[in-house]
Amino acid sequence: MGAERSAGDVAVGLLALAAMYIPPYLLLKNGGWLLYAYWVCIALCYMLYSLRRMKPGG
Amino acid sequence: MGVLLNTVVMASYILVGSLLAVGYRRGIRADRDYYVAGYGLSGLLSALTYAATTYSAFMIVGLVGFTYATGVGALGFELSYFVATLFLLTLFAPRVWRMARERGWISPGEMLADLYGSRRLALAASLIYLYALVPYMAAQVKGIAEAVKAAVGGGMGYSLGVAVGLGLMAFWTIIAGVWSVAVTDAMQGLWMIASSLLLLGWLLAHVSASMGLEEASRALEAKGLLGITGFWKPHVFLGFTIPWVFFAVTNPQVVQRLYMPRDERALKTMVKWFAVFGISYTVIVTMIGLFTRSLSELGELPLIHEKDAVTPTLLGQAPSLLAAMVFTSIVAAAVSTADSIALSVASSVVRDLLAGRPAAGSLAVSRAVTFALILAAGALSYARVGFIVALSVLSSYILLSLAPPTILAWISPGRARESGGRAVVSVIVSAALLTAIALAYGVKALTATFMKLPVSAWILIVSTLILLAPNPSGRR
Repeated sequence: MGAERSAGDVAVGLLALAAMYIPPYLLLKNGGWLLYAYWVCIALCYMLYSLRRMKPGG
Repeated sequence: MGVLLNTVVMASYILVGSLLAVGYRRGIRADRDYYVAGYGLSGLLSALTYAATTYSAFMIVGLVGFTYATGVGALGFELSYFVATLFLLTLFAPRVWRMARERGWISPGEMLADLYGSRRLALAASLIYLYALVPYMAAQVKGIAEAVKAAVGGGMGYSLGVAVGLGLMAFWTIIAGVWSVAVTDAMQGLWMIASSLLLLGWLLAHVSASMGLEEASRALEAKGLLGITGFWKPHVFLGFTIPWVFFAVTNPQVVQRLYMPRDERALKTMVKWFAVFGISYTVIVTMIGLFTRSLSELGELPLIHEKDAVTPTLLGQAPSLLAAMVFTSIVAAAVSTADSIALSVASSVVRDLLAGRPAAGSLAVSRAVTFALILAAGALSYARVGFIVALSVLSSYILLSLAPPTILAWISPGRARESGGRAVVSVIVSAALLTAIALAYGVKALTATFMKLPVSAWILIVSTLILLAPNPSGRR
């Protein structure tokens, strides 16, 4: 399986986790549905990335 | 009419699940078949059993109430778990899957014992699983009992619910082990997501017709529920998320599911469909919580003060058939989580605690231990302790003690092999500290801080330092 861990995977994963925690407290405290959309967007983007890494030969 | 309909829908669920459990029996000749399906699960079954095992009654009861009470921060909390789980699966699932079949692991304790060369570590892990997860199973049985009680209109409903929950768990685990659990999990997972989607559809239609979605959004925004509310202070968010971020490596029922896919393609299919299920279910459930709150804010529903009462109150307004389907989905979510845990903890008792004894290899003993654990959970559920969020989160809180050694072993099996003694000390010290804090503070343990960091984070740091400490004598 080509999807073994790599430095890039670790960096992207940590970045996605940091994005879940930090911006909501600095920038997005209350603005309609913006915070909801932001969190879903980060989760969705990271999901697409990780699924791509799990593809055969990915 | 409502009680009759609830009974008919619940009976249909029990009948279909039991037919699937019986029909999907495979030749169970050894522990390997009973606990990990002989490493032969298809991708879709693996995905649905992973999802249904992970997402318990906490979602449709606890998270709906949590979102209702604390706003959109609850979505961030749940999605942080989701992102962390995908991160850990992307990094480690292929390696763990391959090593499990190469080395013949069945229980998660065997994995730790093998990678660290330490049987004591497996014993420590087994004991932690026992006392952290039997209450978690009890919380699921309590969830089933509360749902059945609400569905049949009180009376003997709670006792009936405990009996239904224990009966289903016992029948579906004992008949064919993880084969029947996986196939019933698949049915239950689909039931959970379909019924929650229907509930959200009805709720949105109801809100649109009565006040309009814009008015509902304005009401939520005016209360600050679409932003970071006063509840979600940074240390609270961190404290709540830390146990869940490590869920995929600390909870034996999901670690064991990494062993089960029949080939690499099935493993990838498992991760893919689990991800699709997880993000969809999280969005649906948090939307239900938010729009239910908008009904309260605009006077369509009373303000609900008890978090676990939000879903039942909403269901009191929903069409009878929909309410019956969602009540049954609560039972399904709890059963699918609890029976998987029962099997996983039983595997740990049989393979790690009883290892080397003549009874350890016997399927009859495996079934008896599973049954005993289910009975213990039933007995605890009569105590009716706390609410579901507290019990669920505190179980994962105590299991945090296993995160550093598991991750080290997955990153570097060679280094783990030299750290067996330190891993045992690290696990025992951190489990003792976490348990003491959980007992002293209850659910407030999650948010207890020291120098502005949650105590759980400090304990993770200390246990990691113990694990990685240089060994001056050069011995293990």
